[in-house]
Amino acid sequence: MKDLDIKKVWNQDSGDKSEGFNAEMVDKIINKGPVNIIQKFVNALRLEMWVNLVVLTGIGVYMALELKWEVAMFLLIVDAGYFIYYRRLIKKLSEKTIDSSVLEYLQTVYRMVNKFIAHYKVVNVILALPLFMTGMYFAKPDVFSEKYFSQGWFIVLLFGGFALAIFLLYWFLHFLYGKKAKKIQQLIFELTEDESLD
Amino acid sequence: MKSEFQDLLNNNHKIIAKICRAYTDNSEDFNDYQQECIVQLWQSFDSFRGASKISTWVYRVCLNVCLSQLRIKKKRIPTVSDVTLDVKDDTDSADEENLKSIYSAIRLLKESDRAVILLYLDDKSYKDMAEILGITTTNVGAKVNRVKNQLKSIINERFGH
Repeated sequence: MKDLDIKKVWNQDSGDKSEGFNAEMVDKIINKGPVNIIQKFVNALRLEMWVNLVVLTGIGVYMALELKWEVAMFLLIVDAGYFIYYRRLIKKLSEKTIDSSVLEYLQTVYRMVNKFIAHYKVVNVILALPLFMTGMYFAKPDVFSEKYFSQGWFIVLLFGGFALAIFLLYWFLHFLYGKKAKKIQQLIFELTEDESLD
Repeated sequence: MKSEFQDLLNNNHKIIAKICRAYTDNSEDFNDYQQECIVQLWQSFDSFRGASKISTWVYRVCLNVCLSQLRIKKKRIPTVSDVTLDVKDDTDSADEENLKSIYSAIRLLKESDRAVILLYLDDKSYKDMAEILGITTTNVGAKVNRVKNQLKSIINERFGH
């Protein structure tokens, strides 16, 4: 097939033979809402935000009823911090950029995927450690006594457990989003590669 | 506003279908991509101020949707029969096979190259292509030449035209 023929065959496809969309069809599609990767991030973050708020507020109220005012106050501050952080992140991810150029959009999606990965690293790794320690302390205050910390098996178990949890989390994040980030990065590279210099 | 949007869709549905078809090889994915394009067009319809041509805007939104859907699939080589069975064509049977070969060949290109060739085949100027893709016109020209030759050789080698 010659070059000219490819365009000729292609342009024959632009004859208006398909049915198009009726009002009912368009309504149905629009009402379903978006299902793209960014929307999935936003949905996940919204759910997380509410779960965190409900759980932390619940624990805070329980602590207040137990007259542990310092803990209740601390949880209230964490609660407010979480809320502000999530709201800002969701707002940033919800910014509409779909009608920007392909390169700009891919760069935006790449930044958002990385932001989402960083969010999980921060929330699950940095915050998980002090939260776990606090939980352990309330469950069994003597766990931090010298009795346990002087025993090698306890240290190995504690830090080994954390190392394993962090490894699994990083692997899971890579499995879910790392590949996507790499693929977008590759697309950006292909588009920006200046072939006019070849 | 919905009736205006519906008119816009009906005037540009061919563009949407062509782009989605180039990025999918079965009707299920095709429908998903097409629906996502429509939703995203609707969501940005309000902010479309007519700074660019409507078709340029439709291309931008649809290419952005298809390139960012990112379904990581097992690598497989699409054949003419795959496409024949799954995605419905609306061309006369005389040209149907040739068109299917072109789509199958396009699907063998890299995803970023598919965007370049789709715009080229739809007679977009280098300036419009550069605006849609966000790269320079000289780079567009170089890419078009390379991808065009690549497409031709795929069609010749794999589909024997």
